[in-house]
Amino acid sequence: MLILIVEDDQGIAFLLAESIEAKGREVHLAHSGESAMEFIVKQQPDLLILDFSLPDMNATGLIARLNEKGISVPRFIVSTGRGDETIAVEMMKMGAYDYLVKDAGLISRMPGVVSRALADINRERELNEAIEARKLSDQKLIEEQSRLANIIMATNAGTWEWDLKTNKAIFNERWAQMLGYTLSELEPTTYKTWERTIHPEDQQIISRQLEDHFARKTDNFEVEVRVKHKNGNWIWVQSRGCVLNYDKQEKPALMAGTMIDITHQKQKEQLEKEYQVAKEALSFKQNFLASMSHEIRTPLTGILGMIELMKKTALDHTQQDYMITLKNASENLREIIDQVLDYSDIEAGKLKIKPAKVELSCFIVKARELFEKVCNKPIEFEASVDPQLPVEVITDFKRIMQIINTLVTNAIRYSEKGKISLSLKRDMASDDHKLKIKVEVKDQGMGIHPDKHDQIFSPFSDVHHIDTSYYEGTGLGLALCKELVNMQGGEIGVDSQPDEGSTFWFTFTATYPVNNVKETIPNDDQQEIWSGRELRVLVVEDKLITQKVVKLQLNELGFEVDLAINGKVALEKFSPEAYDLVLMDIQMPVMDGITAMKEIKKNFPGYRPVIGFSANSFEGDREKYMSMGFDEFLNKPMHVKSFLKVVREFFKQDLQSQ
Amino acid sequence: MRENIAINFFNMESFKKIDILIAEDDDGHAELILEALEETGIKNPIHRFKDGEEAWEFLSGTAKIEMETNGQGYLLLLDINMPRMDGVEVLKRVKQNQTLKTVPVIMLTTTDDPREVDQCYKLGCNVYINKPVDFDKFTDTLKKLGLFMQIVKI
Repeated sequence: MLILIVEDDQGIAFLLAESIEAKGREVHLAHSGESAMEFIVKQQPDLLILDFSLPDMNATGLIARLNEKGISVPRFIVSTGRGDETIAVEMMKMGAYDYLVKDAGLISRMPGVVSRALADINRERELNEAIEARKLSDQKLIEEQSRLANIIMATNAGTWEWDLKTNKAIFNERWAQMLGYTLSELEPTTYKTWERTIHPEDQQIISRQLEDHFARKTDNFEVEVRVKHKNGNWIWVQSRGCVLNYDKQEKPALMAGTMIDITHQKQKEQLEKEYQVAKEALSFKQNFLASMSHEIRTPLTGILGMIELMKKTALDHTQQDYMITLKNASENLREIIDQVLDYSDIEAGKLKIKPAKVELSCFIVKARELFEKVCNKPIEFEASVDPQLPVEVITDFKRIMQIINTLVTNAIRYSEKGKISLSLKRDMASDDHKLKIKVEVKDQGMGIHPDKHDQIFSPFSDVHHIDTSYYEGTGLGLALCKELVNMQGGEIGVDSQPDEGSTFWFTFTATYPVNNVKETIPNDDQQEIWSGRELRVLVVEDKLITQKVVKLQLNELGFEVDLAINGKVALEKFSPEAYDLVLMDIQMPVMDGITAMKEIKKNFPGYRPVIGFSANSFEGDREKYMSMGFDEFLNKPMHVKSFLKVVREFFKQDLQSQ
Repeated sequence: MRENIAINFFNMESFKKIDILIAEDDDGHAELILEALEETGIKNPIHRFKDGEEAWEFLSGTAKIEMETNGQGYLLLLDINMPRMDGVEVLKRVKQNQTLKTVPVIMLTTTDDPREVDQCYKLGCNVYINKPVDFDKFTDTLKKLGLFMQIVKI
């Protein structure tokens, strides 16, 4: 505590100071009003002991000046001369804590007054601190509340409290809002306010849950139920909570919790469930269609076979006629079933495109065959291929043919006379490694109205069927074509006008028939001639020109070559000592290569290698011939590099020993 | 069935009107091709050219006029590697010419280099044959081409 004594009489000042000095107190002296002011401003003492009459001003003046300057006036005790009672009263009015008369007792009375004043000051301070502390905790409480409120707002949750004794309930604004109300619309709120919104079917769920929770079987109460919105719709809510207080009889007294809107979530779940059901139904439908079609196909094959046999028996003209109708109907049925099978395979993603080398002319030949078999009307068939197309391409013959067949069959079906033209054109615009081919089937039949052009490629929409019952169609044919074309990255369409014929077209991409069976032989350090010991090769080949070519090739490589014109001659010439290697053509007159190879292997066990070679070989041929007993197999025309590679493999030791 | 069509085609009057043009600078290979053609039984007139330029001179002159005036047909066999003008260049010129572009072209290659073969197909060649010419393969290719030409209706 800092105490300032303002006293012009030095003797009194010292005595006073001495009398009040104690532990925890710091006493300063000032001899004039001015120096007192200065000290107060700088040090802010806790207590002033003020002599009323100072040399430069009196105490009233000092206090007034401090007030004027806005300096807070510390507690002060005034000492006055005897008889100045009026001054004393005035000073008390100005806020003095006490006043003492300057007499002989002054020094002895002062310590008591000072102690009292200081004690008061301390108490006041503690009180202030307590008030501040209280203010602070109030502030924290407010913050906490608003934080909780924010969290609840952020979760978009409604809140509820339920007094089980009175059945009164307290909801927040959001709770009411979820149901389409404002809180004031619902007040006064009780448990009933909530209960009457619940869907009748869900009432029981809630009572069961409450029962379990009250019986302490569950830690929390939690339900997902439908409640009625103000607008009449049912919305899904999730309500969660627990008992907060139990009464003395251990019965629940107070419950509280939250409620959130889960309508969107429920709708999503519902949609997902429906989607799953639909998916299963679709897959069931596909499986059903596929297995049913298979089931029908089996007896149908029997029927068609029997029809063929029946036609060969002695039948009169009428019976023959019936048989033809029967046959056509059965074949039509088989066609439909096959289309259904293909269509369900495509839908199930089971149908695979299998590209292989195909002669383009095959499409034309097969289409003509179909035309000649099916068409019994006075219609001509013509076909053309763009001379700029390769003779062979790589594509899925079966699937392209299927599309062409459908288009040609339709053209026949919807024409009565005229011409059907099939053409294959090259789309020169395609400049990448793929070859784009456009197929057109043009007829001079009844034509189709442009409005229906899109529709005819959808399943089971036969525009002709709608117009007249005379024509019939399966309705799946063109839809199937569209799927097949799409699968191969092409387009399909029709140009047609009623009575002006139709041109159905589609495009597909194929690859050039480039041999992709590349043998990778490092040719940097490998010499293109045989560098081992001299090897004698017996070439068995019936074609003189091939003999000539092979002999030339092998001689150039550094082999000695002997020739045999067929298997039989080869066997006559052969001995293991005479030849290191036999190169054997497969197809030859008198004795073929396979027989000859087997003879050699039988007569000279352990002799190798006998190498087969043949033209027109397919994938897997090498494995086939090697399983027959050939030691290796090469394609014709023979590549020098492949031959050398094979020889190097068989005569590795000769090369290493050098 | 396919074989019959092709063989018939080579005996058909329309094919007999076709002249076979061979552009091949190597005498050995040229001889093999001629022998192979002979073995197939083809009796058509055959012209051999020493390089691409010689072949192109004939095509752009005599052959073009023949085709325009009396519909004379040709079949062209082109070696790829030739001095002065190579086979790819001849192919390019033939396929860019309105009259000549319908002429079927067989490319003769020494390699199976897919890029080279690919380029020829892109330019519009009908088929390619590997050299040295293997008799079986050659006959087979000619049969395929015969069937193709029958449908093309040159």
